[in-house]
Amino acid sequence: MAGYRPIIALDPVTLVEGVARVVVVTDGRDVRALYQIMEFRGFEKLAVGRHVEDLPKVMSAICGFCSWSHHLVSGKAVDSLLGRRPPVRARLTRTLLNYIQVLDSHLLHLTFIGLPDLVLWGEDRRDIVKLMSKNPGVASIALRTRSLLKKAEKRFVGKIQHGSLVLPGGVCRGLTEEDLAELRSTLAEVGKAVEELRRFFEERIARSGQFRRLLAREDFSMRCYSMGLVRGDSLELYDGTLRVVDSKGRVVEEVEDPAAYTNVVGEALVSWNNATLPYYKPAGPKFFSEESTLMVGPLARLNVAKEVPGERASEEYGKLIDAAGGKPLSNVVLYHWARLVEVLHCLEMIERLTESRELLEGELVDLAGSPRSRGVGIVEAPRGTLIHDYSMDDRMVATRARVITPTTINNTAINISLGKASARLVEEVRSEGRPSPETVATFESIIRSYDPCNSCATHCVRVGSRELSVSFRIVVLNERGEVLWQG
Amino acid sequence: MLRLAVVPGAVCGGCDVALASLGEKLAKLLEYYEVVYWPTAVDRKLSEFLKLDSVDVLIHMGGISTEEDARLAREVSAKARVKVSFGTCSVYGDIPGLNSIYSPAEIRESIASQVDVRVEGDALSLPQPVNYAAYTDLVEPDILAPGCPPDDKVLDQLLELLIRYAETGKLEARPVLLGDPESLCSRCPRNPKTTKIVMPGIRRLYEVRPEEGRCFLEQGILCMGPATRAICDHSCIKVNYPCTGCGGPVEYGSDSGLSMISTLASVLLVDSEKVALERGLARELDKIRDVVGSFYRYTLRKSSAYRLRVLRRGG
Amino acid sequence: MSWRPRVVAFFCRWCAGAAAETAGVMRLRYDPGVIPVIVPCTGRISPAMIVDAFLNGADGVLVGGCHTPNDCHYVSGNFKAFKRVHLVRKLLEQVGIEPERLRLEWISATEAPKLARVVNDFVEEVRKLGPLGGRRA
Repeated sequence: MAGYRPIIALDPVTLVEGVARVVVVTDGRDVRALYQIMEFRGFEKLAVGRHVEDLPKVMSAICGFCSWSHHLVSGKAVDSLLGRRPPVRARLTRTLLNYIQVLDSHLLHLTFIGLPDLVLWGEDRRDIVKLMSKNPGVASIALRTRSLLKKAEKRFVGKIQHGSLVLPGGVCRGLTEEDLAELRSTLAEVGKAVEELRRFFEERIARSGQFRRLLAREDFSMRCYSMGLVRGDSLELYDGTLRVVDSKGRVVEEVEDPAAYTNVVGEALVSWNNATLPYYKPAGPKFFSEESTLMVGPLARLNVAKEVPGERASEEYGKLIDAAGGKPLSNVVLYHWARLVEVLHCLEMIERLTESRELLEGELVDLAGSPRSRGVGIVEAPRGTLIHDYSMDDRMVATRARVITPTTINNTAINISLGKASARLVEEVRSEGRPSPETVATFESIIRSYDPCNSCATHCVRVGSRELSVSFRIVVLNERGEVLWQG
Repeated sequence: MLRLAVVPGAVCGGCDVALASLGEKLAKLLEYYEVVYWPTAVDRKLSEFLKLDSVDVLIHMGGISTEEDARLAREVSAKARVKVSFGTCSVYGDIPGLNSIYSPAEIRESIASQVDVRVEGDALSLPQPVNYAAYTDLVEPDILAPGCPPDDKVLDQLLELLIRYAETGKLEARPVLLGDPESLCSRCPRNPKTTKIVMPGIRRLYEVRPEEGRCFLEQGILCMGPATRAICDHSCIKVNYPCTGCGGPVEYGSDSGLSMISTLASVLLVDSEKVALERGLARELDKIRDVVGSFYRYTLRKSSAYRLRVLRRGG
Repeated sequence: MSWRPRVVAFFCRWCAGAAAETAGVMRLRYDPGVIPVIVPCTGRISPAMIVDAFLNGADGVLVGGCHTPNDCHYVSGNFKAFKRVHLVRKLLEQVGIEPERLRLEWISATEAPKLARVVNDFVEEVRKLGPLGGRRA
């Protein structure tokens, strides 16, 4: 990997949480894209020394988009450290909140990023502002559902992000009849909006020639391992078996004990990125090769599961499979559609949970259990499998933390996907002096499909010290490192 | 139209979401302001934004973790008429500020030591990490909007100020620290009236089932309410979770951790000091294994504890 | 060895402060590098006063108050001081500073020789620890 020189930097890749850039590098023959995540935070370090019961709050600050996922997974890791099993009511409360988190995040992504990206293909700006001017109806759906969901979230955990719910072995507060009544009325509204969204997606996107063209494009393909939780063969978001399927859809791993994730996920740290490049451990690491790449998130989850609970979700899932020509799903543009399937799934699961008496009655915390030195939690966050792995001493103080986020896991896949689109980019820079808007749009679309959240990914840091050389401009260099063009 | 720019440093995205979730209120603000930069929400390149000579209002989010964060924060701040430090990372450093007492090399090692493979020697570089700082360590803002993320109370106050600024061109009494000038404790729905709080000992949060409605301190649970500015409507306390102090100290420039130490001294076993004696008091206090994480979780970077660390290191 | 430890000593006026006066009258020698600060009660000493002393050049901080349980002129100021000092010591330790640099002693008005002994002993301990600033933690 040594010796690559940067040719082009697009700074920053807008509409990606956190700050990142894409650098296309060549050694004169090969062209590779490096998706650089540039922020530097390091939650692994600051977790050490903390009271373990504080970790769910502390670690939720990793990400403001999916803070509940971090809060919940951290809680599971701490449960495991203390050897506790949350009572049914606590488990259902957490499960419910995880569904709300995924629903909320997916709706945010679909409306702020996914729809503008797909509907405004070919436009100069592809963001919510432009979507509002061109399709005010669907754009306003987004704003409406968000404020409703945010209100519910605030009611349940106090804040719209970095809320407070998890105690070791349970939750601090049980939901009440009134909470659920409000949630049901919120859901009714959200459900209507989601139905509008679904119809819009079907009519304006799924049936469009543009979408079908994208589905056929090789640079959007990703044939690698998919990882996610399942319960039996069903899609599962909070607690289940960690399953890996290969690029042919064959099950290659089923991990019951979360701590055994280390047999499946390997992590490589490279000097050009603040996030690690994870890989399927038995196959890797093979950088820039689909052969050892792990993909997580909505698309991967639909690859590991055979069915999607929920009537409408299941129906939408069927349509997706038909459009894709069967499984495994291997085109990253389908991420958006998979997100829609999960939106429907979450809605239906939340509806079911709000009918459950067990959510309203019973113990909130189980204080029994024997502490142990290591605890691992795994949940499916909106963007995919999220792992927190902690160690503590006998004073219940954290001595080590490792966090593997879905964005980090997808880093490897993003690099490969961008690499596929890079040959044309380099070609255009060489012949035209600059990349075409279409090619630049392809880059951004690939990144947005994965919905990376770089705040999450920068729990990781780079290796080696080197001089500052980041420019927030587009820079084009030839193989000798000479500047051909910069914008 | 006035120009509004939202510039992130090292962020989690929560502040973006808080601002974006304002919905109609945000739309009202945008009647006065054109958003010239906001990378999370608006598709505009930084290079275009940097060509502007000035902006009217800059909302800075996040902490400073790389030289790029610092350079950008300084450059855009110099062009801004009104600088808003938005969110606790920007104002006080927040949770990532717990890393401010470590060097980037120490932070790196905590991750590098856990990966399976390390690949060195690439030609591509990344922004140089710096010792983590708050935005307020680089720039003196006009408005400070703490909260992780800022809550409705602070957001409403901020929007009101910005709209008034757009209408009158004036902003009184800088810097303005938003939120109410009192501790969260002073209007706590659980406050045991005016009677003295008696903390019966220290109970770590893993040892207890917190009771609804009863003062956390009286349950032996650490609650930062007494040392935290009233920047929210008791968000966490209302859902039966003790305040962890995300609003920062009651007054800008004071020290939440030291205030909390004072408060604890005043309430812990006050009814039985002469029975517990030093040994009994020490036994309870020693249950707190993490003073920094308990009392300075959001404000370490701006605290005397941080300054002590710097002094110790010879910085 | 030109370095001499600088110690700030917060003395309650009712006990340690009075003992310091008596020590002077008795010509008891104690280290001149100590800066005594007389306070009305050790309960009056805020954590910020202790920390500010360190931040402004003290290598050690000594707190002298009235014996527990019953000597405090204001009933329980000494216990408040104990709790504050105990927590500040924990804080110091967590930021890499030896907690021994902060010491609390109960010294009554009649214990001038103890005061001199405690001060000298503490100064000696701080001398061994070396300067607070500018060293690797």
